Amino acid sequence: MGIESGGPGRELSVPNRDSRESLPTDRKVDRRGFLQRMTAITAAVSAGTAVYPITPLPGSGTAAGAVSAPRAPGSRRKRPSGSRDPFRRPLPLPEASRISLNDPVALSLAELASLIEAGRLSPVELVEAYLARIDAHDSVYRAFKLVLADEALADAEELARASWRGPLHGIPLAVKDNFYTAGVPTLANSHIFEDFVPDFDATAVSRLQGAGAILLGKTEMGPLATSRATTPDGDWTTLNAWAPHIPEVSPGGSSSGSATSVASRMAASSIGTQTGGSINNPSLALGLTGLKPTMGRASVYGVIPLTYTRDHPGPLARDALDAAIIMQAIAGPDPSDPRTLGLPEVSDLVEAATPIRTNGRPAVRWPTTLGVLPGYLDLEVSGAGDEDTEEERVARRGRSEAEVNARKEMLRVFEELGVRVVEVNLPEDWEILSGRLFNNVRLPERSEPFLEVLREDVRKFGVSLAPWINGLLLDGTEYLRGQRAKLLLLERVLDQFFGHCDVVVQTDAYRFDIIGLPLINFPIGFEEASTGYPRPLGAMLGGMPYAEDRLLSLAAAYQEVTDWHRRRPAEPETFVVDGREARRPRINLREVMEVGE
Amino acid sequence: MHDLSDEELNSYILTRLKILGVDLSVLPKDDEDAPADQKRIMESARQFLRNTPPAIIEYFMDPQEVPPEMYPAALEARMREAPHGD
Repeated sequence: MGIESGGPGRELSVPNRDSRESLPTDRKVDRRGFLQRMTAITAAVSAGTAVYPITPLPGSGTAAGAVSAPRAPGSRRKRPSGSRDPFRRPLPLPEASRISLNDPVALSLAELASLIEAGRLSPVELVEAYLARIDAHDSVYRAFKLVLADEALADAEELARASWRGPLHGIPLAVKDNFYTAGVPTLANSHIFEDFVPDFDATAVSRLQGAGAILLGKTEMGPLATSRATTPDGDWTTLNAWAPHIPEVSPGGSSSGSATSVASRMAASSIGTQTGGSINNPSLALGLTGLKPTMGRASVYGVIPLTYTRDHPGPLARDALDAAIIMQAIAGPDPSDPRTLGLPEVSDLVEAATPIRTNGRPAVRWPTTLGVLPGYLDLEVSGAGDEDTEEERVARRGRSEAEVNARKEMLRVFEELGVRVVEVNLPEDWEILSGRLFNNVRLPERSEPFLEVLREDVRKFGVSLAPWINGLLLDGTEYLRGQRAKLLLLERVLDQFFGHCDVVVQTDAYRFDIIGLPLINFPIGFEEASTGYPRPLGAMLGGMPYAEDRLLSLAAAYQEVTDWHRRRPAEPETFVVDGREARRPRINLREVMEVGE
Repeated sequence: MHDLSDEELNSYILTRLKILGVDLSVLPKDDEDAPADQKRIMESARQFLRNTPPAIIEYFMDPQEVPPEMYPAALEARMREAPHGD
């Protein structure tokens, strides 16, 4: 089991429910108000008022390149000024004197931040350590599309001379290749973007760099953010760091490279995007902590669109505190993305992700009721068969005993931390309204931004073409009804889940993506006997609107008394299998169609 | 929709795509080694049409339930000085 004696933590009484300031954000939000906003997102998209940067798309050409330095010497891109400071003080970072410097790349972002602040570690040393690992291992993992070695070192030298800005100062991050990066190719692993070099940074990238982070590289991803990471024509690229010798073991999609870069200790942390599970699924597959925030909590301005009403940026991190630091930096209103405006203020996520103790024992920060879905602890999985995704079909073959035991232990740990665990019923028509067919309502939003490319040459979509074509076939009538059905689902989830609990376990990320609610995942064990490699087992919790603080606090409390998040995969020995170079298979059309994205 | 033949659906799909100016004929007709071919794209489209529109349309929704409304943030962005995140 993963229970271990906790660290020192901070002594703090459980807040009084009557104190509004001490409440998690989900208790300050009018659930009906959120419904209205989500309704309006639908209307705005229908009316064409949602904002995405529509950039002229370049022509097609040769296949996208491998890892390389994209810029000529002397043409270094300018770092954002960093006038925005999203972090409140004092910062609850780990004590630097207690952190071993033996292997910096194995440390968490928060630990690295503490060492850098204390002057025990230089950003230059840290960047050099990650670059050395990338040189040594990325030919196997293929997590990076592009490594910005010279730029990262130059930034590190500049930051080493500057005064400490906050926990991201000098921290090398990996960024999914669908975030615009000024002067740096942004390809989204598609022929469509193979010559595309944006002239501005995505808001999330700008904010991270403004807070002192270093852009280490752009990561491999599913073409246009669909499947696991592949080339534009479908050949697998990124491998799962826990099983690099078995290419069939998926790193999850589509933020595959971001997840593998962190798990393999080639970056301190990373950001990705999620439309149908692309942060949570790779985080689960790699034993990381992934946070998919509420719709609008963080800007997607400067992100290549996949689905206007469902695209969310967020961290794939080593633990809850690291995820909170990233999220704190990127969250908040952005005038360039109206979806982020008019929402509740971002709470102190870093504080929320700091473990506390009550009466000397680790405890949850806020009184919390955790809802458990029917069948969550069953070995056999029931449910409709014909309408399942491939992922669901795999899941329905039955869970292993190890997985069920890990889930039981996770619930027991939460109870010990003071969480009330209750079984909740599924909302009315849950399987229909959150199922694969209603999930297809997203497809016209996928096709519309790319109409010009579809009209010019469908071959530019490579292996990803089918859903873009299908999106053109869904009539406006079905689209509107499907959008209203999403709101009905949201209403029922808010009433029928969250009328009985504060957070609810989830097993498929895309269902909460449909309705824009936040999700966090974190590791709860490993399974090796039946898999032949240490497969990370994870849990996923869904919350009410803007409940990022509560979700982070729960994951942090769990991680205070367990050590699964501290496990690291072994070094990859070789990419040779049975005396030959291991072949990376190609994704097929069925997989393209059936993934949740 | 379940009663429609492949030929009827093919005709619908190709007509719809032609209206939009999208041309599938640039793809190879039937080539499993190609990233996409006409055969697989048409099969996917027929399956999509046989399943998704009927499921959505047959789900009755009261016209008084969850009517679309304007997104408040769109007004927020246009009616006064927008908050600055940076």
